[in-house]
This record gives sequence, structure tokens and C-alpha cells, in this order.
Amino acid sequence: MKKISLSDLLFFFTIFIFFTIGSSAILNSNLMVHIRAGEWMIDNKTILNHDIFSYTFYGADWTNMNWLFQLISAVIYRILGLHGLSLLIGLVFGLSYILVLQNIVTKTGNKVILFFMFFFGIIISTVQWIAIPNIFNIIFVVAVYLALGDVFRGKKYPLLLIPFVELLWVNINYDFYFGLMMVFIYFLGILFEKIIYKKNESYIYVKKIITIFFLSAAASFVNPYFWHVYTKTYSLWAGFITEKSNEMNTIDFGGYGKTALIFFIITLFLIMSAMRKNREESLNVDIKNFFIFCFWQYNFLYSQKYITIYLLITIMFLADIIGDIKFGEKSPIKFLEIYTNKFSDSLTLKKNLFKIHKWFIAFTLLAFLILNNRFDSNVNTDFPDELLEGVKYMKEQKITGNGFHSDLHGDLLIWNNYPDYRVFIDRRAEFYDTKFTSNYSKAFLMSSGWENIFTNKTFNYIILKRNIPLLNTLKLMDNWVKVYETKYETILLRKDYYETIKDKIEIRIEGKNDK
Amino acid sequence: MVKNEKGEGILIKKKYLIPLNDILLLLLFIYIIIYYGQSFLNGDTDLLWHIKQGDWLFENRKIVIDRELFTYQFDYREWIYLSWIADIILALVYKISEFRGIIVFTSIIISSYIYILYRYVIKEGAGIVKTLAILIFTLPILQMSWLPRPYIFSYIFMAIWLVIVDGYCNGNKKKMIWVLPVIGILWVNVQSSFVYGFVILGLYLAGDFFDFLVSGDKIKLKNSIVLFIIMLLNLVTSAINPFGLKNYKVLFFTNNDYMYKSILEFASVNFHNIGSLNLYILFFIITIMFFLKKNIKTSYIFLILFWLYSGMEYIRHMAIFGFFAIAIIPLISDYSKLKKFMTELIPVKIKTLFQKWIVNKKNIDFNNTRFPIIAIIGFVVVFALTLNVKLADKMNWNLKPTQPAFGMKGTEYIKKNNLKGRIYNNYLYGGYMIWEFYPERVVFIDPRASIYPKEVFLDHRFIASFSEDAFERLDKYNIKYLFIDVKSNLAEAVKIAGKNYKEIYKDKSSVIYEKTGNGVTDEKNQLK
Repeated sequence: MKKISLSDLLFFFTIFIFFTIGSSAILNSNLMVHIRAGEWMIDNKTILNHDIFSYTFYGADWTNMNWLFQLISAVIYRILGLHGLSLLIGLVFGLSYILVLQNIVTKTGNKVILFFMFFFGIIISTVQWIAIPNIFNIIFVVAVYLALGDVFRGKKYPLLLIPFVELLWVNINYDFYFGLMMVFIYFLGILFEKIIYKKNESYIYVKKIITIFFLSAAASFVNPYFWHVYTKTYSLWAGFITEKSNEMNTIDFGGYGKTALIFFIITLFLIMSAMRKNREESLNVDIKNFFIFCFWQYNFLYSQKYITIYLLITIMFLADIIGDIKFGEKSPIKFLEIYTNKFSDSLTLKKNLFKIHKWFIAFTLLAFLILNNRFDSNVNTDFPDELLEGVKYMKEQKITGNGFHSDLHGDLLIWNNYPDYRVFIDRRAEFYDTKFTSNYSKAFLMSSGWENIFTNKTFNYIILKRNIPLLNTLKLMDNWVKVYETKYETILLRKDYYETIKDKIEIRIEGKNDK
Repeated sequence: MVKNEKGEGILIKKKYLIPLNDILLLLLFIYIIIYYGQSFLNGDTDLLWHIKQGDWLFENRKIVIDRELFTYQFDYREWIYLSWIADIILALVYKISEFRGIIVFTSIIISSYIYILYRYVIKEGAGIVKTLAILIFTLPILQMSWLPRPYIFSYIFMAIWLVIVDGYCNGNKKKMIWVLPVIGILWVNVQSSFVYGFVILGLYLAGDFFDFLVSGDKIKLKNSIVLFIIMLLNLVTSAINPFGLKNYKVLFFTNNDYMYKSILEFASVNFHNIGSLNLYILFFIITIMFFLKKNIKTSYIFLILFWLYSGMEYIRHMAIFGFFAIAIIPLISDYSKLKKFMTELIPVKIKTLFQKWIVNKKNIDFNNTRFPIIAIIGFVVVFALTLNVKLADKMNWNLKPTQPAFGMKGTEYIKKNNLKGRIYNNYLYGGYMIWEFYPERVVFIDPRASIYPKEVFLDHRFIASFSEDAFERLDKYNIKYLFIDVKSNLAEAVKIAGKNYKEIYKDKSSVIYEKTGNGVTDEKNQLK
């Protein structure tokens, strides 16, 4: 019987993660819009850079920085369906995790602690197993971090990867500047080491880092919108920060973010434990990586969007600073130190681990996949399937004209009713201008002046989730008629519009059917 | 008699001199009054009902409120309320010197606990410049809890607790540790946050036990055992309160999530609103990475990380993290590397100045550098006079709540027009209405959140947000008037679609609607 090595195990682990995420990733409603946009590009053989989905901005210029993601999504969707997109998410996360794992097994830090943090990090990051273009940030950040580190390990080529990553990044989403920022922070770290610690080891690479920075910056201009991507990104940031878009909010540390908070606190504990032991060695801490760690920690605390990136960067950073466990001679748990360090030693690449046949693991994995795959069931979405019933009803009943709805319903209308329907708004946050989204939010949240949107525009229909304050208020008004209501959503028609179609429409209210 | 640097005697007796250390804290006290005094009254309306309640307890010579005073929702409901001593103190302070006294009293409490921490940290060997710098840097976090309510008393207890427990673990004044269960009796009768005492003891216990496991040091084990005994004794003495051990049932076995979720101070920290906090955490990370002392106690790590965790989960606890940061960071850090770096990096001229004014000043003896007490008193008097003129005239320092969000003008309207009938009121207005109306009129809800039954609390939430059957819920309570925030969903909904409601009052902050249609309550239910 052959023994398997850690590298074998890592290979199996990758496949495991790939399929696990692939079968449980959540498809964001916005993905539906990306798919439709990608399909339009396939059909029209050109990049989509004007609006085709809304009636509010129909035909307006659209700096579509997700065009490559949309194209990839549409191709995968046409070949493999929505399950294929789940697998794409699995691939992105699986690759990111494996790169991190491969990085930490090469480090001297205690593997028991590192592996614990790694698996804990994976569990926490499941909240981000969502199909959106931003998840590509994770693999790109990990790749840039590792490529920068590899320069100092004497490898030349990984550094050239960074401009290539930047090229892909700028065509996939608007967070491409993070790559440039990381290179710049690295550069600052080198200067800091040179000035403060008088270290020359990193400084000899400073020219390379500067060159890579400019090459990457040049690569970021290779996109359909040239330098406009920078102005667009700037306006997005300004807009996002003032509008406080949901994904930019601080994570709810009292709710679903509690595990991330525990991870954060454990990280601080590990740093403090390591530093109180090796205070003098703290001089040898890689300042460059520390700066990058601080940068991502700051972002993580600021916005929930960066949870997974923070987790992975932290794990790689910890691998650099924590050492072996050392207990005192009189410690009653001295045996733990011996066993843990021994076990940690054994977790080194290419060392044989267990007397288990490779094929046994392969068959176990296969069995797991067969038992767990959901290829014959529905994919997971971030909205209840029942919400699609409302937009289907609208199409079925031939409710026409312009309407008011939430951004979520906008996505669903595009997904189910495009090209027959055009929407008021959808979740393409980067497309709609700040003033428009601000008015929409005002109406949706019933802030002062909310009713203006209903007096200034003529809506034939309103479709909203049930029991939100706005809907409850509109329902009390005389000029709206309720024609559809389930426990999830409600559709109201403007009274005079309703009068014109009332003979043809079927009213459907929680089991009550009136012709 | 004290001597100057040359050894010459100065003819002022030491008892008339005040150490530089105390002056610094005196300045802090003045700073707190100037910059935060007015905000003490405008943070929330809790102070108002605490004073009214304390007044009632004092007048009736009772320690438990045996009837409902402020709401028409019920006649009596058992409420495990432990802050009776604090309420009486606040009521007495108000009786003697009104809001001016409340501000001074709160400032004294705040500066006292900071002073206790500061002196202890200095005594334990942390440098004065470093400690002061960290103190100043941490003030914005600490300030988050500066409100005149019973909770503020807990900080004094925490400071005493920390000094005694830490002293015990460091081998100083070991017998003092046995005093804690006795102080615990007072704490449990002042505020329900007496449990923080257990947390501090528990974290020291865990830290010392951890150190014992790692190092095998028997003293650490002994410390852990003693701390465990103290915890048990504290558990026994904490039962000496009007409710006995019942308070633990409320604290640990009652699910109040529905309530906490809608109270802002129990929300998790939002770094968009408090951007400086993110920078503070960055400072903390840099400190522990580069300036951590060797072999620091595990209990310090546990203390600071536990409260950071707790503060990020509940914003209410972030100030406690600040409290422990002031005490712990100076003890665990050593910024001498930074000093070296600054003196090496800064150009020669500035360097000389820096060394002359900062580095060499480390030799100032803050305890023995003394100033005549009469000069300090003169300074304070002049300062206080300036303060009165400046703030009262230019900053409109009225020494009473001035926060429009308390619904003060609307409350005045109700009083002036003697509106008869049940009023549905905004949660925050409840506190101010109690202040203005008690005992003549009672409210729908007020910030004593935990006294209200779950059903009432949720009804209030759904009505205010107009999210589920709001009007039906209102009808349940025979409401005749709505006294609500002008920007609330309910106000917007009533404005557009509330056919049975007529607007009778409106200002920038609040609006009052009168119900005119069916379901108007009869006169009997209107007043309690």
C-alpha cells in the first residue's frame, strides 16, 4: 500500500472544495442581469456599452467594466446552465484556497495553528460564496500577494504575472486598482525597511517593483473604455460612500459576522502571543507584508465586501510570524508541545503522511460528490424562488407600461421578462447615477419627499415585497388597485390603467381567484 | 518644605502644594465639563426618567418600585431593576443643584475613574508621557459612554476592581482582594453591570491559569484558585439586592433579542460612523506588532481582546474597551524603539530641540513637581467664570436638555393644550414626556425598554416603521393622538394615507396627529 503525501492531499482537497462550493454557491440576482448582458454580446458580437434593460436610462452610455465576466458567464450558462456558474465560483474559491494552503505549508510556523486558522477561515468565507464579479478580487489579490512575495524568494516570473492579472482584472470588475495599490504599498514597505531598519535585502528589488507598478498601470488601460475606468471608479467610490451601498457596509459583528470577529480576535491573540515571546525578532517581521495585512484589515473592518480577502491575507501573514509552540519545562501540558510540534513537522510538503491508498481517497471523494451533488436540483439563489412568480404573473397577464419596483425585482424582471419589459432600476449599482439612486432610495425608504417620484412619473404597476412600509402606504391610497398578492410580494395597478384591462386580468390574492 | 533643583528650600508647606499629576487630571475634569457638559444632557432621555424614579424612591423611602409610574400599558409588572441607589443619587444631585450639578457630578465620576487608572498605571511603571498620550488618543472612544445615568457608576467600580485584582496578581496588597465581594454588594445595587466584575475576575483567572499551564508556575495556579474563590464569594454577596438571585435569571436566561436588535447601543460597531476607531485598531495592531513588551501577562491579552470583541459586537461596550486600553496598553507597550527612530531620523536641529524638550523631560517627577494650591484654585475659578460667560452666551449653554430629537416642543404643545386621550409616542420622546408630565400623564412607551412586554415593544416597532398592520395595532391601544418623529415612516404614511388623522401640530422634529374617525377612545381610558 502506498502512502500519500501532503501534496496529494492538497490536490484532493482542491477537488473537494471545487465541488462543494460548486454545489452550494449562491447565485446573486444580479448575476441574472450579467448573463442577459453576456448573451446580448454573444448574439450581437460586440461589447455591450449602452443600456438595453431600463426605461429610465434606455440607450444611455454604460461603462460596462464587467463585460468579460458577463461574456464568460453567458458562455458557461449556455453550455452548462446555472450549475455551470456555481462551478465557476467553486473554481475561483478553490484555486484561491489552494494557493494559500500551498503557501502556508512551505512556512516554518506551527502548522496545527495555521491549519486551524485556514479551515476556520474557509468556514467563515462561505458567506461570500456568491456569484458576483467581485469574487474574482479574491483570486487576484492572492495571486498579487504571492507574486510579490516570490520576488524575494528569487523567482523572477511570478512578478510578471501582476500586469497580466491587472489586465484581466480591469475587464472583469471595477476593483482593479487594488492590484496597483498592493504593489504601491509593497514599494512603501521596501522604503520603510530601508530607512528605518537599514535593510538592503528588499531595496535591491525596488526597481523591479517600480517597473511592475508601471507595467500594471499600463495594463489597466487595456480595456474598452481606456482611461475612463479611472474616472468611473472614482465616481463609484464617491457614490458608494455617500450612498452607503449594502455591500460596502461594515459587517454585522453581532449577527452573521460573529465568526469573522472571532477570527479577528484570535489573529490578534496569535500576534500578541508570538510577539511577547519573540520581541527582538519583531525587527525581522516583513514590513511589506505587514503593510498589506494592515491595508486589508482596515478594508475588512470598513466593508463586508472584503471578508474573504482579509481572511486569506491574514492566514498567509500569520504563517510568517508565528513560530513553534514552546512551553516551560515545568508545564503540566508539556506533552502537548511535543505532539503538536511533531505533528506540525510532519505536515511538510512531499513528506509521506498516512498509509492510505490514493485511490481510496479518490473513490471516497467521488462518493461524496455523487451523494452531495445537486445537479439534478435547483441552484441556490439569494432570493426565494417564489419571488419569480410575480414577474411571471405580470408577463402572463400582459401587464404593460412602466412600473416601479425594487432593484431586486428589476433583476428578476430582466431575467424572466427581457426583452418584453424594461425596468425602473436593477442592481447594476455602477450604472445608475447617484442622484437617481438617491431618489429611488428616498422613495423606497419613505424619506422626506418620497412621494415626489410617484407624482412626477406615471407608473402602471408597482411590484414590491410584501409588508414593506412603502407598499403598506401605497395600498391605503385610492389610486392603486391590488391585483396580486402572495406571502412574498404584492402587485398594485394604477386605478385608471386597471380600468382599461380589468376584464382581461385575473386577480390572484392569496388563494382567492377572481376573474 | 520642598526643595528646588539646586537644593534650596522653598518656603511653602507641602500640604499647600498640588502635584503635577493631579493638575493634569484637574485639567481633564475641566476639559470634560467644557467639551462634553452639554452633551451629557442631550445624549438620550434616560437621565430624565432615572431622576423621576429616584425622586419617587426617595420620597417614598423605598428601594423597589412596587407600582407602575410612567406608562398606561399596565398597572404593575415585576421589573428586575437594580439601579435604585444610582437613581436616588441622581435625584438628590438634581434636587440640590439641577442640571448644572448633574454635569459637574458626571464629570467628577468620569475624571475619577480615569484618575484611578492613570495613577495605577504610572505606579506600575508605565511612563507618564506614554500614558498621557494613550489616554488622550483613547478619549474619543471612552467618551462614547459619557452619559449621566447609572451605567456611568460602573466605570468607577471597574477601575477599583481592576486595580485590586491586578495588584493581587502582581503580588501587591494581596489582602485587598477579599474586599471585592463587599464592594460587590454596593455595585449590584447601583447597576446591573455588576457582572463586569465577574468578567474581570474571570479573565484574570483564565489568564493566570493559562500562564500556569504554559510555564508551570505554581504562584499563577494559586492566584487562579483564589480568584475562583473570590468569584464564588462575589456570587453570594451579589444576591444581597432587592431581588436576590432573580437578577441572574433576567440577565442570562431571558431572551431579549427582539429588544436589543432595535436599540442602537446594542448594535454592532459601524466603522463608517466611527472612522477613527478603525485607525485606533490600526494603532493597536502596530503597537502589538512592534512595541509589545516581552513576556507580558496573558491576563492583559485576555482583558483587552475580550473587551475589543465585546465592543465590536455591541457598540455599548466599545467604551469599556477604551477603558481597558488606557489601563493595559501603557503597561504592555514599550515605545523606546520609536523614540530612538525619531531621534535618528529627524534632522539635527529639530533633534536637539526634541531631545531637549521631550526626551530629557522624562526626568520630570510628576509627583514631586508641585504647584501652589491657591494658584490652581484661582486658575479654576477664572476658567469657570470664562466658561460660564462664553458657553452660556455664545454657545447657548442653557444647562437643560436642548436636543430637538427629544420632542420637547411637541411635549410643550400637548401640555399647553391639555390634549386629552391616549397618545402613541415616539420611543425617545417617552423619556422627555415623563419628565414634563409625570405624575399627571402616562406614556405609550419610553426608553425603559426591558419593562415593557414583548408584545407592546414589537407593536411599537411595527407601528413606528409602518411595516405590519400599523393602523390595526394602533386601534388595539385606543390611541387618540400620534406624537411622532416627523421623518418616521409612520408620519409619512399618515400624511399621505391616514384619512382618519388630522395634523394638529408640527415642528422640525415632531408632528402630532389627532384621530378623528372611528375608534376614538372614550374619556375613561384617556388618563391613568
